[in-house]
Formats: sequence, C-alpha cells, structure tokens
Amino acid sequence: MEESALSERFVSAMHSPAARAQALVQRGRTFSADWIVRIGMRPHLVRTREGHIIDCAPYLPLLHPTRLSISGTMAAWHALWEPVPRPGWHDIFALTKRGELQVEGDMQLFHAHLQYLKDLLNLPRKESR
Amino acid sequence: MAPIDFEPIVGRYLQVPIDRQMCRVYVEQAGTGIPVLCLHTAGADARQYRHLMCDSEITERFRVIAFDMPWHGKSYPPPGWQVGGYELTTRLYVEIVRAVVAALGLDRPVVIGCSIGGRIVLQLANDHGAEFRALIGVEAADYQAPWYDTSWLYRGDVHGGEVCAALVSGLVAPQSPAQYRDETLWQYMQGGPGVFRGDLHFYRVDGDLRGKLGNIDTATTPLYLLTGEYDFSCTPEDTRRTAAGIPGAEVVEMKEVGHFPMSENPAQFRRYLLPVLDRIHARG
Repeated sequence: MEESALSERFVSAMHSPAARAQALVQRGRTFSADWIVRIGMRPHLVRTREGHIIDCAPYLPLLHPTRLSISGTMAAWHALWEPVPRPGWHDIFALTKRGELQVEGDMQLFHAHLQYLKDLLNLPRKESR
Repeated sequence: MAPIDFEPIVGRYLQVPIDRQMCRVYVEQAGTGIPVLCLHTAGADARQYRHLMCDSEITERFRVIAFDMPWHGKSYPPPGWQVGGYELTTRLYVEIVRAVVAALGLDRPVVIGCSIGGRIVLQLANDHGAEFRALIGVEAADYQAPWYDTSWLYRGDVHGGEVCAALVSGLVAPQSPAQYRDETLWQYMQGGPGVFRGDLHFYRVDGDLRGKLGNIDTATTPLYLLTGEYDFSCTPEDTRRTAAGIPGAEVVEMKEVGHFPMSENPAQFRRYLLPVLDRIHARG
C-alpha cells in the first residue's frame, strides 16, 4: 500500500464515528495536545482536546508546536492495520522493539494516556474490517 | 429456587514462613491427583489460572493449586512493608515457591509458571529439579531484551494501574476473546503501587540466566516450554534459544496466543497444555 493510501486511511479513521465513541473519548478525557503521526515521510498533525479529535490533516504548519511524535515506517503502519496483524507487528511496542516505529517528545504525556493513544492508532484497523 | 452455581475453586489463606517472616498467602485449588502448582505473571495474581481449575478434564487427574505471591492479589505484603520498597530477587522467588510447596505438604508437584513464573521454573529446574515431578515454563526464556522503561510503572504523575495494563495490552494476541483480554488487563490495573515494577527487578536485573542452566536434568524432571507466537516480550525465538542449551527440553510454539495464554485464551491454551499434562500423568 502506498504512503498516500495509508495517509488517507489514517485521516479517515481519525474523523470516523469510532474516534468519537463515548468509551474512547472518556479514556482520553485528560488528553489535550497537538501531536504528530508520521506515516513513512508524511507527517500528520492531530489536534486533540479532552479526548476529542478536533482536526487531523496530512500536513504540519510551519513551526507549529507539538508535544508528541509517533513515527512509523510504511511497513509498520500497513502491518499494524491488517485485519489480523501478524505476530511481532501487532502493537506499537512490538514495532518499536523491531525498530519500525519511534516515539519522541513528552514521554509523561505518552505513558499517562497510553491506552487511549494505542486505541486511536489502532482505529484504521477497524476501518479495514 | 435455582441451585447455587459455585465454581469448583476453593480459596483459603495459608500461613507461610518466607524470608524469616510469617506471610499470609491466598491459595486457590481444585481437583484431585497429581499436584500442579501455578505461578502467575509479574504484577498479576492467581486468577490467571481460574480456567485450569474449572476444567474437569484436568481436575479429575490433577490437583491444581494457584497462589497470590506476597504483595499480589489477596496476599498482603509482609508486615512492615511501609519501610522500604519491593524488589523480587531470584533468591526470594525460589524461596517463595519452595516455602509454599512445603507449607502445603506437596509431594514432588508439577510447577507451571508464566513469564517471571516461567523464568523461575528454569531456575528451579537447575537448582532443585529433583523436588519436582515435571516443570512447565510458559513464555519462558533465560533472558529477553527489554522493550520499555520500567520507571514509568511507578510514578506520581502516571496512573500505575492504567500504564501497567496499557503496556501489557499489546502482549495479548488479537485473536483472544475480549472478555478474557479485559480480565487479564484488569489484574494489571489492580496491582499495588510499584509491585509490577518490583517483580520486574527479578526479570530485568537479577534474573539473567544465560549460561547458568547447565545443571538441568530433564531425564529426572521433564521440562516443557510453551510460548505464544504473539509474545514479543518473550518471543518463541527466545524460548528456542534457551532450550537449545538444555538437553531434553521440549519447546512448543503456541499459535494465536500472546504472553498470558492461560488467562487470555484458555480454550487455545488447553490445546497445547493437555498433551503435556497427559504425558506427565502417564509417567505417574
């Protein structure tokens, strides 16, 4: 799958009803930040306020402040979003362990909202089902 | 009135001397026959084995026993726990297992342990193998590469229960039923502050067994190592590498399970465990 297709899939998932599901919003109720998701070379700015995605777009405005960046190779995101991801490619920590994904920025913010972020980043998998 | 629907599991509190202190340890058991002592994973408790204790195909031949280690589940920390922190060591872990075996008067039990329980099974096989009828290491290896910073498990500005569960959630296979995945993670959410991290002291700092397992005699005590394909913490390759240095150790890679086979997908786990238990039973 090409970078543009993965990008479209991610942006679509962030704007989907699943991203507004009550349980997910509740899980992210204390998470407010602008953060980056990189798919291959393509950055995406995700703007989140109290568990609500208020915007997600495949660009990064010049000098825009962000607190967190999660960058994966195309292979990483493609594998993570398979309907049933294969062993060793099925979780962001499995991907960081194999060097296919990096997390940078505010590690307290990341760990304090870890399940919320994992659930968000897994949403494109639901879209593929 | 409908009949009372009790499960066959019976839980009691056991007084056990550990590390020169009397500890109150919660023990559950079901079944009759060859004793099988079950060791839970780091940061969790004996509820992980509830499915084994409710499986009549197992309990009609085996007495399945699981206990909460001190600091875990319904076992309190030892008296005076407020002074000093909790760090599990290899020495203490071996002592806990042998003390519970002695307190229960078990005759050469089978021990099955998962994760840190799998690691200590290797240590038991090496140092005290003759005391056991057979040993089963689930998600067991002599060493595995770290994949996160354990300091995040015990801080004032990150909820310990939530981060522990979120970290290990990726170790559950995607095929595992949602109910059992959630039960498995709930235990991590319920752990006491710093306890998961304290267990991992054994795993990360004190329990590197590479090159230290040359005394294992699988002819006397068979050693079975079962590892789930979705476990990226203790990978099947970690287990195979470990077994390669232990003559007679048997390795089975389990499909469609992760790091918590007995609790995350009990139906899938029993497909792999029952043949092992059959062989142990046949040996008598």
